[in-house]
Amino acid sequence: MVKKLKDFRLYGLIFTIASTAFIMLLSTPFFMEQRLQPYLFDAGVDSLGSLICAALFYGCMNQDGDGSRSFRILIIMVSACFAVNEVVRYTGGVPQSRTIFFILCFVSKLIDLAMILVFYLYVRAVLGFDGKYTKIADIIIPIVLAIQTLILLSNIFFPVTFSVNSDGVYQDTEIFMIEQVFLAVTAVLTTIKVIMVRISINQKAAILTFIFLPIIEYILLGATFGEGSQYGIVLMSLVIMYCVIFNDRSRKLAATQTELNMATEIQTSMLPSIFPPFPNRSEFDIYASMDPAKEVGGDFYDFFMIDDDHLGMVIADVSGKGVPAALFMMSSKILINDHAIIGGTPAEILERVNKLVYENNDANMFVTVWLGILEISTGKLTSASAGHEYPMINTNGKYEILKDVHGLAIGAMPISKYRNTEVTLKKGDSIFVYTDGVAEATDAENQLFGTDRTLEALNAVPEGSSQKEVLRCVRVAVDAFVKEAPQFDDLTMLGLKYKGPAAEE
Amino acid sequence: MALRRKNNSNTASGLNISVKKNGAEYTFLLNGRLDTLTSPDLDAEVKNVIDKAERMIFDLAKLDYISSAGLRVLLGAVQGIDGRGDMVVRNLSQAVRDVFDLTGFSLMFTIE
Repeated sequence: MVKKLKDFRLYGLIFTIASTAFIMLLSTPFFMEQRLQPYLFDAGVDSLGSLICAALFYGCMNQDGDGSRSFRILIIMVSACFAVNEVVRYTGGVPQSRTIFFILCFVSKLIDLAMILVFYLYVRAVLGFDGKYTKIADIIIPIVLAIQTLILLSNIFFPVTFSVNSDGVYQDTEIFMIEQVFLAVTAVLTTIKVIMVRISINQKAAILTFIFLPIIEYILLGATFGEGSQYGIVLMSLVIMYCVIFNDRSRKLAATQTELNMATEIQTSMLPSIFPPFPNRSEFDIYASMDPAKEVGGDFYDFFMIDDDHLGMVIADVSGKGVPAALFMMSSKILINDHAIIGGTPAEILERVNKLVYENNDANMFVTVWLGILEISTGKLTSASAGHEYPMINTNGKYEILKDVHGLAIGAMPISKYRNTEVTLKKGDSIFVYTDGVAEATDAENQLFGTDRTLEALNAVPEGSSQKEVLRCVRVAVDAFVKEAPQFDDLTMLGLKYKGPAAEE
Repeated sequence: MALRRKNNSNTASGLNISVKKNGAEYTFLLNGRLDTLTSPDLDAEVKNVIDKAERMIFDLAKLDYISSAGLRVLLGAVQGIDGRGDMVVRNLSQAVRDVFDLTGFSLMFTIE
């Protein structure tokens, strides 16, 4: 269904472009032939008008919302009217082509009627017509339309409103004005409703131009049938409506953008960002960074003192991107932090957090978490992984992957079990944890940066560098690898170096 | 102009999904990359059939890459069919298998 709708849009665009091409080609004889030269101006209006139709159609092709479909149909109809009118002028006044001329005049008038109907439907959709008044309008309009169509059809057998004489010239009858009854009825009904409805004055004015611009044009130019400017005016009104709608949407979009920026700010401000974070602790050096791929991301890092001897460290990656991921990230971060401070081993903490996250998770989101707790006095690092990337650990002068035991990502199942992994860090040992944005950074050829390159980058860092420097080196290596390829995922890292217990006082 | 995203396996970042129906058994053949950009497509396909399906099979033989967003779709599928039927994931390549192991998802899917 969705695909069909999109196809319709594509065909609409093709139609408006084809119509423009057709009119431009047909303009040539208007330059060459004596009899057509009086219509040169109209041919110009037609060409320009249909081109604007195509551009306008493209502009609102991907819009969804009330009446956007009717609006596109209106554009297509105006484009068709330009094309038909061009042929009307070309065939008019030529005795041989009087039949086709008659048919085209007829078609043109038929499209006019349809256009008025679609305009009514558009206004109805945009303003959300309901109530008694609309019910009456919904009855009157089809009845008048049916009568009007019958009158138009009767021209085939008898010249009621117009005829084409033997010279192929268009002639009005004395009662030709009854052709405008449908327009008049719809115009009055719509105008009353538009004035009554509570919408912004801009929108009211824009919609009413569809009715009043043609009337003004009629008074000024005394429109004769088949005149180019007639549809130009209708198109002008569509352009005005489009601009007003577009303007409204841009304003809303700007507001959304501001809110997104604020969300990013709030999110970033929730992560510890002052380094060194614990200036009076000489036992370890910690650094962390996060670069979201989009405005707001789902990655986060965290670290905090659980008590005087225990440092908690978290790195996590929420599935998905954008605002939903950021919201999920916020709640996970707070839960992990709270439960780490309440107490227990990392595995116990993750089990409790998983249960809580799962209970309030309707969106099937999950978060992979690595949680480590360092006992500062001994260097004992206990960690548990909820489906997170393997940490890289440096205990003998070289970074290696630490194959810890993996539990399921948090939020996936109601009950998950996790296992603790213990390592003891000696003075000078370090650990590096990261999210998949690092190992899965992709270059233009779709190759992954990979854990091997990450290890290489870590091991290339000069000895004695600070953790800040270590993270910067990895970042530089990733950037050098991906080159121009756009950053696909968040890039989040945390590094810790254990410097041994504090010297006894 | 994003008229219609071509799900072409030839393009670097695309996913081609074909669904085979056999009674109440649906087989999803995935070809390409299942990531943030393509997972909404699979999600839509899964949601289409989830209420009718008694068995869903995800054939990942031609899947080059899966991200957490892709896993989320599979998680939604297994939770959606839970109690009424079963879900199978088969033909995992080593790279995809690694992601399943890493995230612990290999514990919760039936993998063939």
